[in-house]
Amino acid sequence: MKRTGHDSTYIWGAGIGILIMLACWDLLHGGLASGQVLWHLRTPRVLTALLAGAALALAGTQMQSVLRNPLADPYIMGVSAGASLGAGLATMLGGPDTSGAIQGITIAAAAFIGALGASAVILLASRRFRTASSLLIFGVMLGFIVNALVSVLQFTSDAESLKMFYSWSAGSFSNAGWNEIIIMSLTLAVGIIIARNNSKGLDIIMFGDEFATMSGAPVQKIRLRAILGCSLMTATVTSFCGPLGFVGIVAPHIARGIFRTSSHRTVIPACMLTGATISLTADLLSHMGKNPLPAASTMAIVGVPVILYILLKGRGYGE
Amino acid sequence: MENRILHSIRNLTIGYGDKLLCDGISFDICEGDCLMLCGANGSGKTTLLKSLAGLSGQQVCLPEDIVMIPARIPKVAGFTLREFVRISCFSRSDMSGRLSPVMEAALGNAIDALDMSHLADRDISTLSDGEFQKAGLVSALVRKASVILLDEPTAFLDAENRISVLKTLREICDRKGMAVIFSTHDLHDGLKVCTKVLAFGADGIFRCSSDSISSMNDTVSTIFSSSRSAAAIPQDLF
Repeated sequence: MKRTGHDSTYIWGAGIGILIMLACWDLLHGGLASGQVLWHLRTPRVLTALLAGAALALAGTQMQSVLRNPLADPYIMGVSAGASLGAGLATMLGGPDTSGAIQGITIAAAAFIGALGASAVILLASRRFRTASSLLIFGVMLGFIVNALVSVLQFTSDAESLKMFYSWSAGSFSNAGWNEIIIMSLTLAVGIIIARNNSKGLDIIMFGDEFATMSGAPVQKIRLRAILGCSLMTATVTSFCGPLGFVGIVAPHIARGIFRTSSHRTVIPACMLTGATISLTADLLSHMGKNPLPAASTMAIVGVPVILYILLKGRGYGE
Repeated sequence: MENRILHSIRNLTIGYGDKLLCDGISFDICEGDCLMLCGANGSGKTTLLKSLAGLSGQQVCLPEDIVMIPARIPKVAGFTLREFVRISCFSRSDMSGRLSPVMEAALGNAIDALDMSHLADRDISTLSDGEFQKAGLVSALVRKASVILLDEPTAFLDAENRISVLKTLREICDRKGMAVIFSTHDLHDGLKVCTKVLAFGADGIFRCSSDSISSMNDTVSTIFSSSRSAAAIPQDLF
């Protein structure tokens, strides 16, 4: 049965409540701290986790719809592989001479350029490939090639650069400051506008290119817009936080399951809520131990059981 | 008295890429027509329907009053029948996908007309294939189609659903100013409801029957290759 308007108000309330509770817990975790620590370390970290989770979830939702694949996420199109190549080039060719802060900015910028480069290839390809499945295969192939190049780079570089590259690729919400948060917020805002304006197109494209075309929907344009928004958000998040998997795949499924609909008018805001909740949980978990763990790993620990649950449960929403 | 002609097709050539499938296709689509389109696999049934729907080659130019329902639309979970029809009215809804009150009323009427009101708020993934096929017809009615093209509407349906869908097709044709063309391999059931037969013959020639039973039977038999001839057609077919 579909949720009534009344039900969904409660779900929204509960969801936002959980998110705020998690955010407070994450802020206060590790004991009381000075204003400095709260303002310069913890608040930016919590906000980064929220923004990154929401953006990756929104990107994943659009990818799953336009590619009609329940396991599609921002990474399936090779965007994160492009970011890795950029980051790899910056760390391994730049050498260890430069100071840490400059290295950080260089890696972020190079990762962003790499991600946009991969996105540009995908965008060009999406004009040539006319079906969702051929585009999906192209994206996966692109990812393989770019990852192979990253491996070649790793193989030929020294230990110091390798360590630097690994610390970026492990993923973390702690590397972004207020400037990065502003950039991520703006990108997310643009991403939301693109997705909202495309929402009825995202709905109809799930019923197949043929049916969408016969109903008068501009299939190529819908797919292009979705990939553009997805690339922008993924490139920005990945360059600051490293490649973070799972949230993009899992968050849309949870959102559709909870609200019992695949309509993008509901799923777009809902997946941002579930995405932010997942990445905040991952951040909280990564700070539970003595030493902070890589966020990408805790994300997988949170994400994998959910994916398995979806697979075992059988038919999910939006399939 | 001959019914009003909705569309006249004259000397249409169909094909895709550089491949020519059939040329010299001519027939009239009249009000009240329920045309059964038959022919071997790959003879051009789907291509002809797509050409009529304005989707020939790379060019898309959808005519106002012709709506095509393709074969095998995925039953995406998470949409009700009503939402599905709303989504299918893509070019008539506002940016958030909402319909005008007039269109909403038309949607309600179409659902009632096809006797689907008890299914209107069910998730489409829980509908039977036959019920979902009728949801496509609701969509065509809401979109004010006068000619509805259906690509293999009865494929993969069990006997009960097949009869139910064909019956609904016939009912739609009896409405004022409407016509239906459906492609099918179910010649037996199709012949019971159609008013004329369109056939891609085994000899590569496209034929349109008159509305007499014998003409329809003769036209259907042209789709069988000469070596098997009409004798090979099961006798109970006609």
